Amino acid sequence: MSTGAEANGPEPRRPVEMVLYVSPGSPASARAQQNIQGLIASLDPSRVDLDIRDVSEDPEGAEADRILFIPTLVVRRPLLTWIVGDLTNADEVLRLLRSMETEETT
Amino acid sequence: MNEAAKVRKLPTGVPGLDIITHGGIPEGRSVLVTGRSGTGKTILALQIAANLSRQGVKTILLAVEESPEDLILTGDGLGMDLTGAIKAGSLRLSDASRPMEGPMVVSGEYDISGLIHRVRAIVKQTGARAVVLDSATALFSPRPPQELLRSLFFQLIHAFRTMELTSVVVAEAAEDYGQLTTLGVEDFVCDMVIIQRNVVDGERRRRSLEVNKYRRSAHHKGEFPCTITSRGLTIFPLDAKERPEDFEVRRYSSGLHGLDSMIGGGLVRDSIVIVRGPTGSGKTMLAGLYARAGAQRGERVVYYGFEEPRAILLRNFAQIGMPMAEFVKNGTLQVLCRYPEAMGLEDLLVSLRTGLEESQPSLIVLDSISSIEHSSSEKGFRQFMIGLAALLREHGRSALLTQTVMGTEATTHTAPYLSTIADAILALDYKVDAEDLQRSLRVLKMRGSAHVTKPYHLAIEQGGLRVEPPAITRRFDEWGTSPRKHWGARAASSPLGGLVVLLVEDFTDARETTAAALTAGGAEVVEAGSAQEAMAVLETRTPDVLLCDIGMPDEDGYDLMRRIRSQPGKGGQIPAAALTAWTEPEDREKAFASGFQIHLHKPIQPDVLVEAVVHLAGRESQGGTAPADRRR
Repeated sequence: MSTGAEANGPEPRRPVEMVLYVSPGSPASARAQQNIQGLIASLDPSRVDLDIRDVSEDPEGAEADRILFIPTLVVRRPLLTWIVGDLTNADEVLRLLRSMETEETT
Repeated sequence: MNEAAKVRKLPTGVPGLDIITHGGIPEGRSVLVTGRSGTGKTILALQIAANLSRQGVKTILLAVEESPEDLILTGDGLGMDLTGAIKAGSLRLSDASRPMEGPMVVSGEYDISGLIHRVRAIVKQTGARAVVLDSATALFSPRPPQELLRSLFFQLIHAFRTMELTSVVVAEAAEDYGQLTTLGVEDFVCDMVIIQRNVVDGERRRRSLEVNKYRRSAHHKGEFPCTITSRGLTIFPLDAKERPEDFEVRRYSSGLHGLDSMIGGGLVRDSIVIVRGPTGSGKTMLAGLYARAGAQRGERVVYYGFEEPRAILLRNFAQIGMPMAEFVKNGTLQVLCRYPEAMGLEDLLVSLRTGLEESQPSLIVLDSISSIEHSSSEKGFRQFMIGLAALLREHGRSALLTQTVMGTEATTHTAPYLSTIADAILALDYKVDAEDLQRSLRVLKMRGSAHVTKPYHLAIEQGGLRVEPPAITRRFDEWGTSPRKHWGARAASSPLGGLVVLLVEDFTDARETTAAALTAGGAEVVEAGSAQEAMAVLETRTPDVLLCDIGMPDEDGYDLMRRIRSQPGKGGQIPAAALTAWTEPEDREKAFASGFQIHLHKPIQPDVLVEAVVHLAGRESQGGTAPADRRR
């Protein structure tokens, strides 16, 4: 998984791993899917690993990830976080993700 | 169409709850369980979940407030065996608690379809028919804006309903009496609302449960006492199920032959008897006779003594010639002495319930309920009594309860709920004469049985008590010679001053005695020895009140009354009381039908007589109770 080279410099940064839970016929889910694209673009798309799951098809996954509200973005890396909502405040979310990275690298 | 007929119910198996809900919770609908923290909401919810799953209704338990592990621990600790139910596949726990591994941030709008899809998947997989959510308050924390909150909760309940799930939703309230829940949205969409309370009442805690709302179903209203024990929540409903054998009147001896003769042969089986009277009137002795007679018949008897230590109680019984040792030894009689002050009322109820279940007694004595009353608040005592009555009725047991009251309270004052609880009320009393102590026993009430209404003489003697009918003339003598002695301040204040009373009575002694009592009260009494004489008086005078005997030769009181009422003008409208020894319900009805407003029983206490006349004359009653059997 990780190589020794990572520890030597700031580059390449560790990937961001996220799962977005959505549900069909939910306007908030549709908005979240749009907003997440903008978010990824603001990060380095090559470093972002995004999985979008339909809660109606994967309720077990939702159970395991303790999903109650839809949409919910589960950020697994760099720091485990649950972000509930349609991600309207993308800037805030971005700031949050970046602060996680700094926290982890320092 | 009859909507009420459509509510199908699931019995919860929670002791007492299905009685006050008339059968259980609404199937396929939502129930809200609310209350302050510490009222036992989670326990009730777990109990319902455990019982439903045990009854074959597969149930999902959504753990929000606590982790599933903690809930299982709580439930198993109360003997619900959630672990077993989970293993058997009849109960499914789902972890809906907030993740602790990382922060949770809210950004923008959302709905609750995540949880709904999870529940749907479990329903599909297991065939679950019920869901218990503990709690809505934790689920919506941090709290979304009110509009969104309302919409989320509605989505959830609506989803449960479309999945045909019977749901129990727990929610937190900020106070015992106030807004139903802190969120303030849940009750609107639920078909049933249960409120649990845990009020500090004086120095004691008082738990209660109330069914606040039940859509399309009747239910028992008001707060019912409840308790939490090592076996979960128990509710004590007032109206327990009617037992089929209640319809058959079976009698047994009260232990006092004279009393048996007053009440048609004995007490009625499975009834609750309250014996009230002042200190020293012989209540404990009567209780002892009752217990001893039961033990002698080979019945199992439990005697709860709250007044004195066991050794002293047993010694007192032995000294009066009612030794109990033999019955205590052979196990037919259990004497348990407790101090209600040292025990909460709930604990006492639980101990009574355990006692009933374990030793299966057929007779129970509580001596006295006053010591319980004095160690609690009025409301707490009422709840205790209601709970006790429910307990006794549920088990179909006979009980004798003693109650200490002050003087005349024994015959006049009764807390309404105590009257409802008691099937029979006996009043013991005594009067102090110059040289003698006159004891009396009176049957105030005897449900489902004819009984003597006048007081009988009571004597304390070796072997217990003796009861015998009074010598009528002696009683009248007592009153006639010194009526003032018995009524104290009220007589002295001349409550009947200025009133003219027409007294119709053929029996001279009785007429003079009654007249003396009225005169002492300040009234001017016009005496008539027959109906004829009475009519003659009415031709010249218009008295304020008519007091009339019924059983008279030639023309009886009914005929006289009818004749008077048929007269035009003021004379025909004179307020009237029948004063008679005929005291059966038919006699009373006949008196009312002929035109009397009040039906008084002979012999009558002077103060009751005076009060009745005050009442009839339309004067303000002087703080006394209204005489019984009054009708316009």
